[in-house]
Amino acid sequence: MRSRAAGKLSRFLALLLALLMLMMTGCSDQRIIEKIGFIRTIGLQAAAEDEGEEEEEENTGKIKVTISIPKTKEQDVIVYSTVSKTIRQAIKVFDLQNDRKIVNGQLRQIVFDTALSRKGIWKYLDTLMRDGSVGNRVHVVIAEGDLNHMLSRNFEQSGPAGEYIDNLLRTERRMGDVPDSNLYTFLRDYKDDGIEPSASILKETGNSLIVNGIALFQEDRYVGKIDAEEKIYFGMLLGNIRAGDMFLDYPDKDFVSEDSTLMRFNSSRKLKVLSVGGGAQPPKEKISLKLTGTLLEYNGGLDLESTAERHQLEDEIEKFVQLKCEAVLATMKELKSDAIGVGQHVRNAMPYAAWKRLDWPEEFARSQIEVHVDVHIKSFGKLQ
Amino acid sequence: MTEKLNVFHIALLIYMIELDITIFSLSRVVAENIGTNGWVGVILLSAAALVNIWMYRAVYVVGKGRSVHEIAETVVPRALLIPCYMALSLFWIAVGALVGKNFITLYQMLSFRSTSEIMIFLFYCVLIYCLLVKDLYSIVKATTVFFLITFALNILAPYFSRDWSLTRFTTSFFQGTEKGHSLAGWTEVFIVNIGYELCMFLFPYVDRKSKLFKGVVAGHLLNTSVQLLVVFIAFGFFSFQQLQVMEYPVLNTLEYFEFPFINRIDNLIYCVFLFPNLVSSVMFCYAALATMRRVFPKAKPKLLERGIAVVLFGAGCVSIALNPFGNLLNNAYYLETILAFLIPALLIPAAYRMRRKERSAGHEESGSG
Repeated sequence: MRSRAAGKLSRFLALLLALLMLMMTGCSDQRIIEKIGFIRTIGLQAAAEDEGEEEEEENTGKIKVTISIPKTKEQDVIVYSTVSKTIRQAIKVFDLQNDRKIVNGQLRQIVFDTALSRKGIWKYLDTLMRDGSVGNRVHVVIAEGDLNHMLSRNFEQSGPAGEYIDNLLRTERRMGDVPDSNLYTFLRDYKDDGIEPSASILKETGNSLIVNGIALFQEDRYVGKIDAEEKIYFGMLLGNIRAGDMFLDYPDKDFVSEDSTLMRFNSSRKLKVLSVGGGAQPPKEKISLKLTGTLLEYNGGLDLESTAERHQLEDEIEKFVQLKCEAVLATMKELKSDAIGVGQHVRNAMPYAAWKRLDWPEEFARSQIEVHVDVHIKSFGKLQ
Repeated sequence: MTEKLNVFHIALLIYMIELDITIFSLSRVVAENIGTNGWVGVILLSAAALVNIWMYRAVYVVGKGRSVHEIAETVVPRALLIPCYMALSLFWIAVGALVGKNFITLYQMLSFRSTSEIMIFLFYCVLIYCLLVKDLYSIVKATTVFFLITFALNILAPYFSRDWSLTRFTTSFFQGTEKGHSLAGWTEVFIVNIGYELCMFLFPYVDRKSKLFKGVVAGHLLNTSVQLLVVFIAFGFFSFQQLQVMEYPVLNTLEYFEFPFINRIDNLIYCVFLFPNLVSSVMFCYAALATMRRVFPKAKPKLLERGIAVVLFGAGCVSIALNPFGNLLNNAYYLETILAFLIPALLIPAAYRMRRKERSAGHEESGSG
């Protein structure tokens, strides 16, 4: 009898202990959504440029951090800005101003201005990547123009800038002509010795934002860009495009056609290393692109009812795309930024030790890269 | 011994003991210590573990299925064995505690940032105690359920195909290690296999029909295939140099999931990994329990289990307090690796000796009869 009573008591005590522990855990880690400020966007600028001249010396090496926090149930944001040494230091200052606890869990993008990104952005990304609450799909974006103004605006389309940038980049990425530039891809390509990272460039217009090109990097330093009109060709050189649209504005003299639009095309890239070079010999590579799509717009001298002239049009598109791709490659070579990963293939074609001795950015700059384009128009729409 | 384990349960148990927190950092450890195309090294090390399993099979066969304690006790005087038993038991409890501590440190970083680690660890110890007071058969049944929950996560693997590229594997083998190749480095990768050696405590629970070693090998190979899957995904999804700087590559891959209805499911999925860690901890504590029963054969029921739970909690608290970020678990696993090879190396001759003793005793009996 006694032992049964003792057993009951110990069971009761165990239950009490378990309940107590459960409740105590709940107390210490409360997260009440109304009491939390979720940072949507972090904007970073070089401080010295932004602040007055007297402060320039004091601000050397410092950054201007701007954050935007969406308000609950409103299409409105709170924007804070301060000059500090690091992102964390700035957030401590914002915490003193805000009545809610500021957290990183809903961060969607980190935006750098061009001046700061030319100095290198790795150390700021490092801060974010260490934080367990920050996901690796946070977009890394370069902004042209006044970053503060951009982040504090409310746009007609999607409301606050943070929301708008997120939607805009996701849509563009689905087309495949801008690289997916987020913390994961940036770290991946920054650390890889055969490719350089790339990121989308955004710019303000009268009533919207526009993807104004692709930022090219040498390690973590922004060194130049591919213009917006050419980003589709960059996309083809980088990898596969799914359902992309391409407007071809043929230069007059060498083409019969004036302009055309290839819609919903798919592209695939094959990269072959012909020679790894060495000494005076530059490396030689061949990029073969295959495009298949629908032609929905055409102005020019070709008769699209004739099979022969349809093939002629395919040849013209091939020639045009080749020229454009070569121009994009020339820009990248000039900037010594191999953002399409030619180096990964060269690395795989040579012994490890020889690759380690190679100064790839320099070798890339003198690489001879042939571009072969194969275009197949599978349909010409509903009209003959 | 009413119910005997069958081959299916043994396989799942071994798989679950081997799977623990070390799988989270496996890809990094492989990139650091084995280098490019490190998956080949994972296969080689799994084969080394198979050799070790074969040694345990030899102990089982030569010892005619006697428990490892019985084999040891027929050869070595009890007075000498008791300190060894005590030391081993304490060590295994410490291993169990460190597995839990490492899991919880990460769990706290992800989900419960302001809750005390010791509090979460206390919960963990309560769970272990609840399993430990049951017999081995019940632990194995619970393990089967835990297995189904965790193994289902492998269906998420195709999600990474879009960003996965074979080009990142590179064409070189075993290059780019941080400090060259060393025994210590390869052992750091080998420890992900640790756990199969606990099959030596299953001897009393099996008979010929159980096909113990078929189960152990199947469980081990299943674990190796999961390791390979993890390493394959990581080497194609991340760049090689990136892998070397990421503490827990598996966490980074989990972070990448994004579905139209939910994203950042890494916190949810990480919770599921409680189970494999729990099974590892429980089985190390079980090893300690089985050994302590030889030291205190007349102990009251549940007394030893309670003692182990208390020591477990104490060891966890000490490791949290002394060395919150250090990797004591790795050091403990190094020692466990040495033990995993040393114990059968000592037991095989002991089993032969036991056999000879029994044979001569048998002869004497039949002679006198």
